[in-house]
Amino acid sequence: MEMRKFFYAVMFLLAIIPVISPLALPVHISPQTEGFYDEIDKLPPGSTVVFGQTLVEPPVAARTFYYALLSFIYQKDLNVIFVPLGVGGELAAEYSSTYGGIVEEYGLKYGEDYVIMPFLAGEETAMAAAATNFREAYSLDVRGTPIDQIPLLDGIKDFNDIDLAIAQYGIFTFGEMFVRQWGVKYKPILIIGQFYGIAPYWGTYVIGNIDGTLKAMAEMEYLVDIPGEELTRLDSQNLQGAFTIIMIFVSIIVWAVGGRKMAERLGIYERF
Amino acid sequence: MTPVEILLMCVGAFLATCYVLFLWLGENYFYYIAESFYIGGIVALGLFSLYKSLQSAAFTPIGLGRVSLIIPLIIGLLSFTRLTKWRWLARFPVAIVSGLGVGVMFGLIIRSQIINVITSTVDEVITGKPDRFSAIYMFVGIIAVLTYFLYSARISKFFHTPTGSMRYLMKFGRYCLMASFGYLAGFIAMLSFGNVSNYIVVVWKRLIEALIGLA
Repeated sequence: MEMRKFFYAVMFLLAIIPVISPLALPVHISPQTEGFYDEIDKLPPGSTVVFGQTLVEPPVAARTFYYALLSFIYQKDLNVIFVPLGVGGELAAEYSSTYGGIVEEYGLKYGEDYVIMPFLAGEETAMAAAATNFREAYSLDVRGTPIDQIPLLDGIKDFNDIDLAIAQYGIFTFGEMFVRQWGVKYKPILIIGQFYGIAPYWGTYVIGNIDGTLKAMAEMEYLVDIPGEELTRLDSQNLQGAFTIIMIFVSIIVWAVGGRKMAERLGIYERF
Repeated sequence: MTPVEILLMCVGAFLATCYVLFLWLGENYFYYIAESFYIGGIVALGLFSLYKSLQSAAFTPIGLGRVSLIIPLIIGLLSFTRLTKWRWLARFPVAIVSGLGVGVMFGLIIRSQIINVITSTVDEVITGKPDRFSAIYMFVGIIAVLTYFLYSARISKFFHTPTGSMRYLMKFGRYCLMASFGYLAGFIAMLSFGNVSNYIVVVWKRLIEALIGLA
């Protein structure tokens, strides 16, 4: 068997082990995730959270993370306004707000405990519009109900009237947009997305971050004590990472001892 | 979970396996089938999402009397004139969106990406946040990386020439840049590991659990 295929096979086996037998490896909580948790935790019951999403499809792969996060929010008796800012965001908001029977589990009422707004086109312009003049940007919710008839939206004119904003994105340029339009103009925000795009704003405009990686999502599941698939996947990823690091060191040693010829013979070096 | 949903999960698992076979078999017909399904599915989902979004954000409010929304809708539709002989009309939506975008972000970019970054960097050195070492490292790192990008010969000769008195600062900046590139490379590698875990957990674990639940 070629070394490359052997490597794939071992990686595959290592990925399976935690699924068959959970390892429950220790999870180190990063300051960013801890900040995210703490900011939600210290909100008083009845506070309103805006959840801005730029998702273009339902978050099927990370569904247990969203379940854990929203469970934590509803356990704190907070209200959520979903603000889709990507085409397909409405489907994503519908999926994440109802997955796992969370509505029945916490006895949530649409319009009182959570509400989904329609997609607003324009990316950064849409973020600015929603934050600056909420009632002008939206006249109806996603189900066609006039916002004047939705109790949760009573008294919300702009983002000064909300208690916390969470922004979720996949493409890192969206992070800066959220920071500019929500964080700089109103109050520091929480981000679910890659950290490197928003690192310069950490501590001032961004006070909590769930990095786009599996690790941060698993950290959140661990913190809120609702273990899900992310923790299993993290164990699997850790095993694969450890194996890769070992293989890198083995390759370096082989190269140092036997040179390129031995590396080629063992299949750890290929000419392209 | 209904039998139809489980059947769809089985189809999804089969297609995902066709993808993974690429690792062992290279390009093959199973891979082509899965690729075509994926592209077709994404297009279908995109069109459905677009329809849902248009319905909730434009058609329903207009139908309920918010007639002013017809104007942005028409401006948006002008984008499609690019496919006709009146393609010059497509300039209007581009110009409006660009103008609005620049207007919305311009002042905030100066505030958030220039002024704030400078003040918070200095502020962290003074207050020692998040800790004294990190604050000083960040401050020196920023200065050092900035020297790496000095291109004027008059200014940069102290940093970039082999005998320049400040060449070590520039070298330190280079190390800082390499460290950040290493972080990004590691980040991408971790995402790749996540794909393998996804295949196992999201595809097969869920399917097996669903089948056990059905039985």
